[in-house]
Amino acid sequence: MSVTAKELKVRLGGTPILQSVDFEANAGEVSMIIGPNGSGKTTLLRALAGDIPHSGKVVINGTDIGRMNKPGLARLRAVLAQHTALSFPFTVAEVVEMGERAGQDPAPGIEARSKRIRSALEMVDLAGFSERPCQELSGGEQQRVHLARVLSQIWQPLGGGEPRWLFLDEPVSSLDIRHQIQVMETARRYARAGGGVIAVMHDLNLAAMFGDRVVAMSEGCVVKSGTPEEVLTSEVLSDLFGCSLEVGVIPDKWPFVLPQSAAPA
Amino acid sequence: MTVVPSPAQPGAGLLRRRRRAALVLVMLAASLIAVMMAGLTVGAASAPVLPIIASWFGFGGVHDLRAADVIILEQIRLPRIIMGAMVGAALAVSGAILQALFRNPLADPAIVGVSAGAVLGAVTVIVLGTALFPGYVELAGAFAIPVAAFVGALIVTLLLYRLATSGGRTSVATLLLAGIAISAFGFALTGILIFLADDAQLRELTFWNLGSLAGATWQKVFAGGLVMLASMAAIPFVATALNALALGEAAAGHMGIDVQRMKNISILCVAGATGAAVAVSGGIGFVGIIVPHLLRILIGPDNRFLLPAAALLGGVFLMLADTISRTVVSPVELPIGIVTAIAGAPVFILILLRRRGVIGL
Repeated sequence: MSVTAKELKVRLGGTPILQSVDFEANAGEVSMIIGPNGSGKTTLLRALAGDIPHSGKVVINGTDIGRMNKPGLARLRAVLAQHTALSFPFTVAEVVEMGERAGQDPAPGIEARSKRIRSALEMVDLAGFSERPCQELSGGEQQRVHLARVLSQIWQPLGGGEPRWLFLDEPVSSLDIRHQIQVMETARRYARAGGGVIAVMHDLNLAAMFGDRVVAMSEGCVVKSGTPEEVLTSEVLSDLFGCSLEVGVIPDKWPFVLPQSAAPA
Repeated sequence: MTVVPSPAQPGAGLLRRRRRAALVLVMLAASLIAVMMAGLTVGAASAPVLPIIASWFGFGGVHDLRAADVIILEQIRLPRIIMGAMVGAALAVSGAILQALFRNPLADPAIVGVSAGAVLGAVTVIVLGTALFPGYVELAGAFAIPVAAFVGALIVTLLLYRLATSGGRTSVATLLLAGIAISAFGFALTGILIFLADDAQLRELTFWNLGSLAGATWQKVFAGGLVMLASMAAIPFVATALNALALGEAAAGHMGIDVQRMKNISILCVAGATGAAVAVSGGIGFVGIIVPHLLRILIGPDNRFLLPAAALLGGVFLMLADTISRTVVSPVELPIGIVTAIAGAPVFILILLRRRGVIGL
């Protein structure tokens, strides 16, 4: 089971943003999309989520998303956007409940529903926050509330034998390092339990640590994809980002890259 | 660090707010009945209320009562309080739905021009109706004015949405400024029509300036009430979707909401409720802003509870305002729009001040 895109093209306001992208992500894996600003990473994620008109094909678990209705799609995949602005003072629990209601298997009864919400909040390290107004939390805390909302929408990684999909757009961009690792571990657990995760990442080291596959994008095209060891090399990254980057490797572990390697001597 | 949730809050915060909302709904329903009873009792003429009410239920005979008292109660006060409750409910619900739709607590049917559109529709039919569309006026009968007001409100709401929202995001500044422009344009066209009106039509038009419940008749209650109730009956179908919209159109879509369908229902709902309310009572302002604001403080922003509570509190608020307008300079009446504006305008400014930093005005 997989998420695949074939000859995916997207134009926004007349400008071509994606030019014939072929993409594949497998269930059970965390797939990372990397690339410079404006390379089309977010647009690719939005096209996979069914947000924007596109030509070409997007297929989730064997079905073209053009043939699925919105509630059906909502039971199959959940999307965490880069920024989510909440316009009224809903509490943290109420926000998470919105995701829970949208899902395939809403917990029966308010007690079970509350328990699910509490578990989701514990998973993002926000236990005890449920009655706080969401707007009053810090940016990083709000990002974690929305992750809890998205997780509770597709709570079971497998439903009816089919994998469910987490689409994450820069899920750790405003988190401290401990929560960055915690969130990526949650994503990996979700994939190991049979679901699929597709994440747009700017942090190359986290992409190396937690990615099973890495897809590098540049100017609306996929330029390289493969395992972290295949994609995260000095040559590929220097070319991709247009600055000379030196990739090191922790033996038997992951590649790593330090910004210092790009500093002028 | 991880805080262990105390077992004292088993509902993860959901139950507590929900119990409170249920309690507030019950209290509001009781207040509405109490205020309506009070509205029946208070007035320039002192009529014996209880014996007349008793006679409706078959206790005592009507023959013991003065015919004038019975007429005051049954033909003047009763339609007036029923109409007042419905108009208040319709305006408050319209405000709450507009706010959810535009994702902003400052939207109000009178402020953003929806009422002006409704007034223009209604005045067009009153002044030009028999000349331009004689068949329509004859066919629609009592519904002619409410339906015309609905069409006017619908056109403005659609126009406003087009102007203020692009790519799923609403600009507050554009919304409010477009509202001012649309209101000014609507009132200008209305002004031209008033200029063309004859004396009899003018008398019918004067109460539209500041709004009034004084023209209440059973006919208006039935014709306007039907449209208002039908509009508010859509609440259960949009409440959850409007909640999701608080996270933005994209997130609502990701959670399986058919955003376009929800918008269409909401806009029809607002146009119907505001249009019918304006058709029977003129442009009463600020109900749609003050009521939802108070309720959000009291029970939170969840539309499943906020919308029905707004209907009840809107009714209570307008009944109170009407009682004040009838009694404060008795036996003359103050236009009710003056009372609601005096109460509502400071609330509007308060919200504006509080959110100045957030919305960048």
